[in-house]
Amino acid sequence: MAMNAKSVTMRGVSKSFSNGKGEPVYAVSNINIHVEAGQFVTLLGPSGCGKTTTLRMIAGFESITEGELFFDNEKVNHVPPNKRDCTMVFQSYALFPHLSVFDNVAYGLKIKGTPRSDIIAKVRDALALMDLTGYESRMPSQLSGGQQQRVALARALVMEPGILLFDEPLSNLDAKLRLVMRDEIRRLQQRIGITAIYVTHDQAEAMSISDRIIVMNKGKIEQVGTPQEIYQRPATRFVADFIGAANFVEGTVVEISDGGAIIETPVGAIRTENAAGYKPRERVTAVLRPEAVRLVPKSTNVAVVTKSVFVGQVQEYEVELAGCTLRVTDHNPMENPVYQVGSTVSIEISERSVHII
Amino acid sequence: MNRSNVKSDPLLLFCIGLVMLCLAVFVAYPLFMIAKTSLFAADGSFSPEGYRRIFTGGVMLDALRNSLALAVVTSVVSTAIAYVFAYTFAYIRVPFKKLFNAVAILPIISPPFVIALSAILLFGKQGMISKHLLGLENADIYGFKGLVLVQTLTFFPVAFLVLAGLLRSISPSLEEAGQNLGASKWKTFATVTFPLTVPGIANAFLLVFVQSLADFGNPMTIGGNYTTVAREVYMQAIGSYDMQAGSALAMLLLTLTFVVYSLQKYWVGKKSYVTVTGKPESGRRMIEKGLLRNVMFTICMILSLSVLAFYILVPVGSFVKLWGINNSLTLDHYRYVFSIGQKPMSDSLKLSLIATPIAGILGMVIAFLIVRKSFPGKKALEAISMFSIAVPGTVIGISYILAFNQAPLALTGTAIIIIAAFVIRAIPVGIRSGIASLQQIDSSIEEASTNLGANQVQTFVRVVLPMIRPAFFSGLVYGFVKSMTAMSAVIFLISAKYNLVTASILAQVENGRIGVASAYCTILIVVMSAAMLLMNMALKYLNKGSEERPATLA
Repeated sequence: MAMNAKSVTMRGVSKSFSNGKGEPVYAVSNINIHVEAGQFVTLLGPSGCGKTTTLRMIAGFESITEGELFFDNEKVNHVPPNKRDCTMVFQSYALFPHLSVFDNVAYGLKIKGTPRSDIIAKVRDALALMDLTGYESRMPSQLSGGQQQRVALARALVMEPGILLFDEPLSNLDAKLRLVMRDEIRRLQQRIGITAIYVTHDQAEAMSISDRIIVMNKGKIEQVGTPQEIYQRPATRFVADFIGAANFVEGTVVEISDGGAIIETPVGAIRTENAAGYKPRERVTAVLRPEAVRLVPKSTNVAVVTKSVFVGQVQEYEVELAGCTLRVTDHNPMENPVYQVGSTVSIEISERSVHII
Repeated sequence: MNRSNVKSDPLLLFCIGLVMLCLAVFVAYPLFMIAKTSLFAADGSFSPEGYRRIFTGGVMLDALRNSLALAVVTSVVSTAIAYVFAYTFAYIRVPFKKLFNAVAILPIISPPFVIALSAILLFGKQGMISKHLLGLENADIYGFKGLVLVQTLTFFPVAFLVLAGLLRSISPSLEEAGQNLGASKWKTFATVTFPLTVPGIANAFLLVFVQSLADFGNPMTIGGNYTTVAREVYMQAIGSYDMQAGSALAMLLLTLTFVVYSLQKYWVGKKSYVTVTGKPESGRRMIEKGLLRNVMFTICMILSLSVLAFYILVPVGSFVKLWGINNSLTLDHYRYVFSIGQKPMSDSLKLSLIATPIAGILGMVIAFLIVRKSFPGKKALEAISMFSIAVPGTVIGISYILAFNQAPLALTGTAIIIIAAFVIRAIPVGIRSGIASLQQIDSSIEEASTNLGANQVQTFVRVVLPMIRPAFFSGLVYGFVKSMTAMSAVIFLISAKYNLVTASILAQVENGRIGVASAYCTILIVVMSAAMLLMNMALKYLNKGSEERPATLA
């Protein structure tokens, strides 16, 4: 299928309601986003962060209070939702229960007035793409969750839209199916080259499928970046905490050199390569991922193991050190010594993995 | 729940405008006229004469007092009977439950006269029981006694439905907890079950109260000298042409029903301690034996058989030449009904069949607008369309005469005014069931349709309507039944050009031609039953829709 992928730009977009007293309550404020044509971008954040509201503003189901929304160079603020060049895959799939699979997928084409023979061809192609050939006359109630999901996707794709929107499409599937569908969606998107904007609260999902992630919190954008940037260089404490697990250690910059800096913290002096822009005596927070900390036999610093749990792939620890509690994971418990609760150890911190915020 | 703004869809705006116009012209305007007439004399001066005439005694004040007394007594008795039925249903294992259920539902769909007519046939001057069984020469079923009997049997199903739903949904674990803590069965009932149902009792009481107040057909048929408000309004308006007094009385009736209805909706309705989900709790151990069971069963049985007897009597009476005097069987009455007397029947059918689809569609559109859209004036729309359910038919009737007897809307004597009355009476139920079924549809389905390019009307027709087909269809049938059996509103609106079967029945009863009245009634019962059967079959067929269907480009 030939796709006319479009870019999406939001400039200073806000959405507000007035509460009982006439004051505005902002669901999202000052959103600035640019999604290149053909890119897969995820809006990621906890419940209530505004990601779904933003998606719905793009689709046209929520009005835009302030700011501008562009598809390519066309301002679409006031284009009604049924005239926008984007189709959406809903969280509940929203298949029409009274129509067969075929009629569901053909629905949008019929509305558009596509000639009958074209409809048949396009629907057949879309169903084949989603591995649903042979299911044309089934009713939605006769399909499994995964199959319904694929019909919803076929229905959205057959319209050949400029932008494809996903509203937490996998949250109703079981864990294994979620993984399978996640890969399928990504593969499809890359093959077709369509612009995709995806909403989820599942960070693993976001990281595995996105070109870029937009992390949102309380209606604002916290950070935009690739999955690596988001994980390894979180811009704010929120992002560091929301994505993966994080240890936060407060400290003061004591020395800056070419190779990085030294931060004086309660758990010792932490050397890091990533300290650009910080000055001596500045109070900073060091972000230590659990996998960036290693437990070694007792040497320079003294930590007590307070939790030690074997979870199969990793050994999860909690250690107490100078009044701080650190989470540590060992990703190779078969090769490394395992420390029991109560034992005294030392910690080693990998310089490259420390991030300062 | 998602509500979208309508500014961008002109077709939708047009629909809204049309709906508002209909409601304004056919609900708001007539009610305004009746309020105005009751307070202003013909020359435009403020004059609450009508009210004064009522309250300074005489026939109208009596009517007011009578109506209230009747309503209270009827409500008490109905609620009590309904409670017995409902308790039996939910707590006791007895045979014939289907029979009891059918009997309890029957009066809802039958013409307003059947019970009253049967009462006359059984207990009247020539009554089967009064004269032939008991040998009373001048039995008088007319008046207060007869009204209580007839109204109770007619209205207790409403109370039954409320209480049955409530009792069924009480979790058995509450009563088990009571017993576990030492309470005897009786004490459990008194301290656990009964208190939980008190809001339901109040609810049922008020519902029956409203219906009794607004009842017109029964007091006209069997009221005798016991005059009620609805009847007096009719007398004043049609008989003495005292429109001021008539409308004042109508306003009082309206106020009364409105107050009671509000009480029921906003005060009692909010106080339920038990959520009625409609799903019966499984696992209740039913009472299987004992004195209680036998007593309840006997009561229910007697009542059910009596109600059934009442219904069978009317068809029987339609074949009797002169009830009580000449008991030979004859087809004369039917010959009359199908020849000279066929106009009321065909008029009723014609007008009902026109009104039904209008009411059905209008009801659905209004429900859709209320549930899914937001626009200025929406609260007014909601209020007016639901308000019309609290307005007694009598009030509608007289307000229509006042509103539409002169240009620019001179509609009296036409078919339009009757159809309008039918529609206004039928839509509240359609709206309510429409709202209920729409609320069950995830709004994302409609959003999906919009997202794929459909405008509002296309979404409504292609996606929403098919999904609410069962509710739509039952709304249609209900509308038809209600129109065919409409009495209190349309009695004001018939004319030489358009007569209605219910008005005819009344006229025949007043002329003592019970046989013909019974024949009309029987035909109505047959038509109603056919309609209900049709609905049942169609619903079964429609609900099968989830089976595999061949791919169509329909």
